[in-house]
Amino acid sequence: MKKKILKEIKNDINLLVDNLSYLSKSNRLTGIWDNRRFQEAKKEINLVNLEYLYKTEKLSRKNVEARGLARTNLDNYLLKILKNLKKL
Amino acid sequence: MEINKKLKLKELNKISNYINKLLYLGVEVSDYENAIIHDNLTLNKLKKYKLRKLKTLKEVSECKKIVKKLILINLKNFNKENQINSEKRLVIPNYNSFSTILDRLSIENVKLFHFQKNMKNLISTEEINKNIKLQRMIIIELKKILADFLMNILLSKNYEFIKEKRTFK
Repeated sequence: MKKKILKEIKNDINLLVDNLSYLSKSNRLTGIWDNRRFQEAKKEINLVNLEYLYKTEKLSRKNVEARGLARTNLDNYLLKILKNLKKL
Repeated sequence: MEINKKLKLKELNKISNYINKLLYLGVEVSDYENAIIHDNLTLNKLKKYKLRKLKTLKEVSECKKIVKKLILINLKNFNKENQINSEKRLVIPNYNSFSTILDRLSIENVKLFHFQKNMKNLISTEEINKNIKLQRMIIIELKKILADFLMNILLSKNYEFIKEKRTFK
């Protein structure tokens, strides 16, 4: 029983640490694409590359979602680890 | 502060430092990866970025191993102690949750990286150094906040947070 719980804890630690990397990645990419959209939108309307603007919005939003998911996972894995720790 | 608690805090500071390192390395890898995929790099630059990405990924892997090991050691150490019925803190998302502290630390690392790598042609060296110094100060404080947070939840073995509802879909 204890072995099984310990294995679960180790697995959740792995997932928690992986989500630290996802969080970092999504924050960096949100920053990059949010800024690129901002720079593109500074141009006069007839000079804006609509296709590029669309791409910046899509990539920025995609990473905002990824950030939210990583954050939820981080809280959930911590909670799970502590609950299992109490069982040991 | 009693010696035992001081020692524990020292260990948690170590975790906090490595988590911070991992977050910074993650920024670096993502930056190279994004440039490789989207930025129409010249062949020379592409080769350079791919090599840098590989090198940083190796560092990420090493750092992850250390963080995992440190977390496990600390969990075992704290588990030997009796649970302390500390005052229950209301943990609010986007304010004082585990993920909020990590998110803030991650964003401050993004800003640090940005000042270190991308501002050379935009502002003076003096201004860059001033901004880097400020970022480092913020990061040091956030690492302390993270270590304190970990101390509190590992002593109480309790982490309850309000689950936030999404506003936009």
